[in-house]
Amino acid sequence: MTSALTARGLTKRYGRRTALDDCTLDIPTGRVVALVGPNGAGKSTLLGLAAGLLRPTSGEIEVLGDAPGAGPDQLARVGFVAQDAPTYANLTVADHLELGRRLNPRWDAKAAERRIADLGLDTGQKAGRLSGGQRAQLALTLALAKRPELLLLDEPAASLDPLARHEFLQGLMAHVVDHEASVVLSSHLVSDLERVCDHLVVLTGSRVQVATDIDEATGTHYRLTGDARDLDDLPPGAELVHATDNGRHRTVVVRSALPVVADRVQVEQLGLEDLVLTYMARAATPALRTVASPEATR
Amino acid sequence: MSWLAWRLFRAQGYLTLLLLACFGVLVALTGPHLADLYSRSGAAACTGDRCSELAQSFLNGAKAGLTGAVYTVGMLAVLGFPILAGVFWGAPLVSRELEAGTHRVAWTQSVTRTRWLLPRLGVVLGAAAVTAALVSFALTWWASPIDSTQGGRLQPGVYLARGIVPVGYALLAVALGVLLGAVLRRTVPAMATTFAGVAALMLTFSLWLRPHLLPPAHANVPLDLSNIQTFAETDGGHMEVVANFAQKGALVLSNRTLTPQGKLFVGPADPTQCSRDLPGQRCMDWVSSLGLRQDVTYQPASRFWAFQLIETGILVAIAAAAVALCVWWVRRRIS
Amino acid sequence: MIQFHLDSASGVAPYLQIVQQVRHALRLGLLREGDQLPTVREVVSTVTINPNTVHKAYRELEYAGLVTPRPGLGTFVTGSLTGDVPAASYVRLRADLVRWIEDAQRAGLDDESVEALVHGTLREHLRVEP
Repeated sequence: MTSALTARGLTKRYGRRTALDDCTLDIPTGRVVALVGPNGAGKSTLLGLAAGLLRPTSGEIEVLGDAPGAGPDQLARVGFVAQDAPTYANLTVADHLELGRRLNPRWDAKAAERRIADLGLDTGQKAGRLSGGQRAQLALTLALAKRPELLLLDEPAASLDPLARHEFLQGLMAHVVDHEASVVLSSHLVSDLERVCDHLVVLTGSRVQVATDIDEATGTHYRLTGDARDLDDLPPGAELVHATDNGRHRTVVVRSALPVVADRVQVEQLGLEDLVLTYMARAATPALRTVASPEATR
Repeated sequence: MSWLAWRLFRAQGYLTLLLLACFGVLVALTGPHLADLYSRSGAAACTGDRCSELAQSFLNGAKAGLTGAVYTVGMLAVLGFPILAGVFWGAPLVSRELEAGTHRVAWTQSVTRTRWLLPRLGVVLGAAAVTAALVSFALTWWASPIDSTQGGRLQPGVYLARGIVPVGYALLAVALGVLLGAVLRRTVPAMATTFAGVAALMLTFSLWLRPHLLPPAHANVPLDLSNIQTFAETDGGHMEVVANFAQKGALVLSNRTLTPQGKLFVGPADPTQCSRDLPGQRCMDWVSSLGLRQDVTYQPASRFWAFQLIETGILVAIAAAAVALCVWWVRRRIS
Repeated sequence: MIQFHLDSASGVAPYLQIVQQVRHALRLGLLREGDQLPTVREVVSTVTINPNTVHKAYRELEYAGLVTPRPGLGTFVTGSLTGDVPAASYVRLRADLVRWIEDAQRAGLDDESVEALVHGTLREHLRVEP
């Protein structure tokens, strides 16, 4: 099994609204994937399709080599936590653990109880009375104790305070080590993701913009700043990602397999956060001049 | 999964058990008293002319005071239970999960949607059937003196609150409720449409379908004017004369007064016998001399259990179809 | 056992930070030949970091000839960066440095000026960014 998630031409439409458009992805196992993009870009849709909660309008998706939700065995290998971490309001924390135990053959009861105790949750408390952060932790416990090979987490840390977020990510990393699991994690907080993720998928406007290992992404994206005239021609082999003009001053972000060296302009490699911001800025301003060097179009 | 199915139903289950127990106590306490009233009234063993008076006086006594209250409560409970079960147990089953988003938890454990749905359906359908059966049989037993006296168990208001038909409606209401909840995805609209749907079904069966579930019986007898239902004359001499059908408890489908030649009797009234200035008895005597016949199509009271079985069978079949459709819908159409 | 820490704001890739911290410890004699590096599991439980990052850092150290993995046992230090410089020299130089800093402070330099002076001089004299 070498692929955690494979998508080919994956499209999901709701009536006239397109949530995901012709997405092709191949995410290897053993990766912790950062799924980033603005609201409404299709992150939740992609995760929902991978979890078997949604059915594609066209195209295909395979998770751990099988169709999502194909049967109890496949369901047991995938853990999912939806946005806002839904829980049964009238069931207690203990009830939720019992639910996990009864519905999952690979349930690790001791680990679940230990995690709940470490988090300081009262097992007799109804889930509806927990805070948003506590509910998120409960939902995460359910997903982790199931011992899945692949975890799909939709903004799991959104309602957690910084310390809780840190502890959650730590618990997640421990799980990854102990179970050699893969993770797809959607989040707005890119700074967290850099420590924890090693693969990046950027979704904007329902389309996949970037899908590669983070090292490769940060190693191939460069920012060039300088006089607009010096930047009319891009370095050979460089592909324009986004350009912004400020009077005569221009900032250009390019993607290039070859190292970029240029005189008269400042060249820097992009960090993960800036890289993501660039793609999101590009999605927000669709009308941009695409200037490419003659060599690049060869 | 059966643990979760029961756990999510637990509160409603306990409440229902409590209400059942209360009802059971009421029925057990007042049942013997009612039977006693019945035997003392003499209406049971009665043959002859005074029977209807005795019957009426017994019924008046039975429908007053505590027994009257228990009868009302029982009728409401048995008539209303199927609708309540459909609205409160059926409609929210899937729709509440969809509204709260908990289906994203339920369907991403290690069980398929079908394995999740069937036990949950089993719990609510089973609870509905058992509750309906218990309440209905309790009331049927308790009200047997009243039913014997009134004779009419085929009348819709009574029929729907006796025997096994409430079980059929309860199963159908719950199945329909779950299906509507899955299709509409919102609890309140599902509850409203379930309510309307079940009520409409009960009405449809009572008004149009039930009388034809078995081929009706026919009677053609001499018109007996001692038991008149309608005796009217309009200005143009047009007459309408209809007598009550003598058979106790029958469900009358049509009741026509025919001339000896077999045509519908509409008059005209003989002005020498029937007019404003003459005594009414004279007109009546004239009509009885005409040799009119009463032509009735009806369902005899003895067919009560036959109807119950047929109707319940149909309801269970529809419920099964609703369940199958619901499972298919949840598996394939909720995405 | 050496404890790692990650600085998200430094702009340096996480795996490089680990490599640098091991090299730094080796230089200062805090890590010696035969010492065991923390297991990936131990690192992950103290620092929120992707386990692959730790693997990558340890691999890089292995290619540099500084550590060796022993299957089933862990990763052990097998090289050194102190070279032929005896540990005593490090102690003496460090003490000299502390004296110089105190001297600079007595002369009236504030902390920022001390740092700027040190960095500027380092940049001029060495080809290594501190």
